[in-house]
Amino acid sequence: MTRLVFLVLALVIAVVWVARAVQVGVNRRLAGRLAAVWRTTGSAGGLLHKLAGSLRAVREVLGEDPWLSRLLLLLVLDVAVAYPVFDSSDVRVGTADQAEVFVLLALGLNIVVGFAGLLDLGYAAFFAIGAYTAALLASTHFSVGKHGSIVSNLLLSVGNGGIHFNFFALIPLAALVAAFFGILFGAPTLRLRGDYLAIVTLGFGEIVPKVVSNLGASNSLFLGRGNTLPVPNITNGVNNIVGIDKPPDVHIGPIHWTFQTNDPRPWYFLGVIIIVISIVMITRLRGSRLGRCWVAIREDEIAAAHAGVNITGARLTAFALGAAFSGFGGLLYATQLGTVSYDLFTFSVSVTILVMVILGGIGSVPGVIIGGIIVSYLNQSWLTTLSAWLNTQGGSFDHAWGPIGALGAWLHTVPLATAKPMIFGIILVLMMLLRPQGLIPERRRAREFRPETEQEAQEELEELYTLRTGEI
Amino acid sequence: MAQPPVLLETQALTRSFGGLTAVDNLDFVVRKDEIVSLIGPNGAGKSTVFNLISGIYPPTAGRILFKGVNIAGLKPDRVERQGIARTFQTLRLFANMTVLENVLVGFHSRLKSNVIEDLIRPPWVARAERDAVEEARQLLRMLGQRLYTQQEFRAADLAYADRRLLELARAMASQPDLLMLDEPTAGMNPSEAADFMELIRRVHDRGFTILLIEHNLSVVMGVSQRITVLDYGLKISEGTPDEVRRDERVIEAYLGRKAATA
Amino acid sequence: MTLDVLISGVVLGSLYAIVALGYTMVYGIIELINFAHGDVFTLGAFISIPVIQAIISQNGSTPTLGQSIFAIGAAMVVAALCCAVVGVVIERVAYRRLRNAPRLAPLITAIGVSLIMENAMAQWQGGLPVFYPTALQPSSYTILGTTLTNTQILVILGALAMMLGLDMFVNRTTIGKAMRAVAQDREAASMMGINVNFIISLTFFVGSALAGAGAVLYGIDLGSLGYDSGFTLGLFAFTAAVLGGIGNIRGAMIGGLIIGILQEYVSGLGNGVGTEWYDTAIFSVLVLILVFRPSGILGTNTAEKV
Repeated sequence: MTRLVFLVLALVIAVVWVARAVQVGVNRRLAGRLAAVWRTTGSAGGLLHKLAGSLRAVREVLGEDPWLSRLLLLLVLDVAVAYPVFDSSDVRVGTADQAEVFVLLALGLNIVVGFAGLLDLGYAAFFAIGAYTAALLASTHFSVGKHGSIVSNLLLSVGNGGIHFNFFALIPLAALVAAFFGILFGAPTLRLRGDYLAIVTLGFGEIVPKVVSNLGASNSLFLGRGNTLPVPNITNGVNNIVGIDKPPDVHIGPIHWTFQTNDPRPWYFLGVIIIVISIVMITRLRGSRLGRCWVAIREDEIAAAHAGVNITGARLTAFALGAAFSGFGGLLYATQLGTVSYDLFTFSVSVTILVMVILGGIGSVPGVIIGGIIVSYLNQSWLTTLSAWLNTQGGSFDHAWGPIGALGAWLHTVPLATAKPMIFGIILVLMMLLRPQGLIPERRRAREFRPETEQEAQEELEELYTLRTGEI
Repeated sequence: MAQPPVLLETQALTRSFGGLTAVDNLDFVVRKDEIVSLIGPNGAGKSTVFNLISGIYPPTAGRILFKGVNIAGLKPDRVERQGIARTFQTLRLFANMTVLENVLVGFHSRLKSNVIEDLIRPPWVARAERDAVEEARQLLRMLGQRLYTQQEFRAADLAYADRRLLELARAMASQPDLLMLDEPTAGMNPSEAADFMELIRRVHDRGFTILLIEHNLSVVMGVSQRITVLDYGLKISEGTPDEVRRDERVIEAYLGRKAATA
Repeated sequence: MTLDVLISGVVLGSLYAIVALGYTMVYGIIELINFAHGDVFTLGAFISIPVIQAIISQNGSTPTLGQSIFAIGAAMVVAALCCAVVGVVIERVAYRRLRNAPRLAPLITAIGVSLIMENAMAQWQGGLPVFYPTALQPSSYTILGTTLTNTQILVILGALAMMLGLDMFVNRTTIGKAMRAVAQDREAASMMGINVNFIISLTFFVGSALAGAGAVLYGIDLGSLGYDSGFTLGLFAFTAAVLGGIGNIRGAMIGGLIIGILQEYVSGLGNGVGTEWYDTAIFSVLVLILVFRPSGILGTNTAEKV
């Protein structure tokens, strides 16, 4: 029944889309453009160029009518929401749940890297902070008082059964706590050149898991000269925190979501809603006064400052917003898993999220979503599957003659799944060298990355010269 | 006749770079609704004066009073919020932003919205943004039909003279109390420069107080009410255009320099 | 702080200083945090292992002093040359094309190169720490009531020699002068006829060679290393470079010593509990310098260029 609703909806949207396209004459214009692209010969007439040109033509022609893109979005949304209804595998939907968390993280990191142009290499730290906020404030970990619950209502209950915030109350809380830490570490660094931020965040990302593991019961803080103070058990150290509360059940009209069972579908739908809200907010952010500031700062810091833009403030806001998204993602992740441990949030997680942003397209919201989905699936299942497949394939001809046999033997044991960091590293380097704007580029970013022409380089030189002689 | 109130006043303004004193004990005044020009040969320290006022670097000594408040040493964004906007001799546009977006950045300090408002865009923010866009378009139209029709162009794709106009528009957008223009006619031919000066007069008529840097004395003769002449960081002359033109020291500074470099 | 904490701090600090030199030279000349530098260091240590094994048999017999000197010397030269070549190749392949790109781009490739190198070394040497071969028969001397091992003396002397050599190279030779010129103003240097590309390659060559040679001393001093040893070490060394004043060679040396001593001091606190906290302490130092003296101890105030 539900499946039918989604199918019919998709069909209706598709029909309306086609009607609209014909009405505004897309088919004629597109045919003309494509014909032109395929007629080109010479160096720009290679097959790859023709395919790329065709894609660009499709994007441009379709982009001319806002209704076409709106309808397309609606169709994508319909398919996205319908996915777990059609897929009966709980494992696969569970994978999709995790991908949603990472898409959310990638969207957040994109504010820092894509919009503000800052490199944050410790993004997982805020993810950890959000997750631990959930773990501490919505579990049996902190037992307060001795006699039953002290406060108990819809929002929050505190007692010897631990502190239990309602999931929906934790959303702003986790975001705020993460943003607070973002400001704490961003403020001293962001006054300086942007690249110091990279190293400080890298250090921050290394330290946070360490501090979390140190703040368990088995540890002590030193007071100097051999005197130590036992550390209160704040994070349960290396022993993880388990039994994190699930969100309360949701029953609205035909919707019945229960988070207590092992069914991954309610999580999936919750994730879709959260992502859609995030996309709307981030798109608005990009077009806002603040979004304009970030572009202006990337283009020319001095001119931006002279237009009244507080550069440090604008950067710090981006950093804090990114942290807030990460903290929120951490909350979602922790409640989904039901447990947190300090080693879930290492540098490799920060790198994974960075790869999503770079692969998809710095600054591009659809790009980052696609990048997030691809890398998340690569990370969780595709690499393992591919590795196993290659290993069996290699095994079938590793006794063959000479180089072919060597290739087979190599494939037989090629450790794709453990080579994740290398694959991510290669993606980062190749993207930056060959396609810095990403798979689905943001228009402005694509222009920024385009190598400057000879003339622009010359102008830059003159500018430097005049700056130095004091004649700006 | 009562003089209009003083808007900007520098007192013993000094800046040295290492051993070189680029601006030396400079005192000068801009009154409200004036067009004042700062002229001098290359390397006289004119741009340094601008950079000191707009906060690119702090003065070594001296004060800069704007509306009676000392603004010396403030960062550029704080100076802008006090009501001073400027352009640059070498043109500093946001090359990959559109013409309209460039002007909208100029509206930055007039539009007030916080992060949360930027994220959710409530109706009042959307309305303020729409009004700003409308005002920006009017500003562009006032500066010339060509710029107005090219408002969706990338700034880098504009013709040179239009880029100068755009930078002027961005500076005007914040409705500053003082508009500082750094050699706005640099790179223009005499007839273009004359047109531009005519435009500056129109801008002045709309209630802007203007401080102008110019290398070439004849360009600013017609528009300036008062002129201050700098040479080697020192003020060598001051007065009405006619007074300055007749001043021996000015003639010597210009001719002497020319003779030396010829 | 007892004298032996100070000594082991100086030993560790000398190693940090050598790595910090590579960061500071590269940053000084192209303003890039070369994240792969720490991994070049690790590579140097791995490469030197077979060299030492080839010269000194590892069956428990005692090497003579001559053998030790030859083995260590050969290992340092081989490691230095290999690392230098790797460093130059990294610059050529991954950084040079991005010199005029937005600042973000080379930083991102630097991270990518670091990931590639680390994973390659993990595939090569395995995920577990590897023992470094014995190159020197341990012995110790008592001076002023404290014990000094010959390894410690070796590290301090070796590091000192490298730093003095570099200092002379940069300050006394024509090529060193060209390097300083390029660091100061690339365009102007280029107009004066200096081959900027060559000088940048040379900077990577020298910085990476130092890291490779220093890695041998590190291996001998610590006795084991893992594929990711260089990562944290690189982070600390960069902190040292910032502490001393980024771009300043003598600053990097001083910063390295301070960080080394700080690490040993904190590690010794609280009956060993400090070992859980020293990295937090070093990182706090990094943040504190950035807040209070971003130009570092010896740096001039150029942190915020217009």
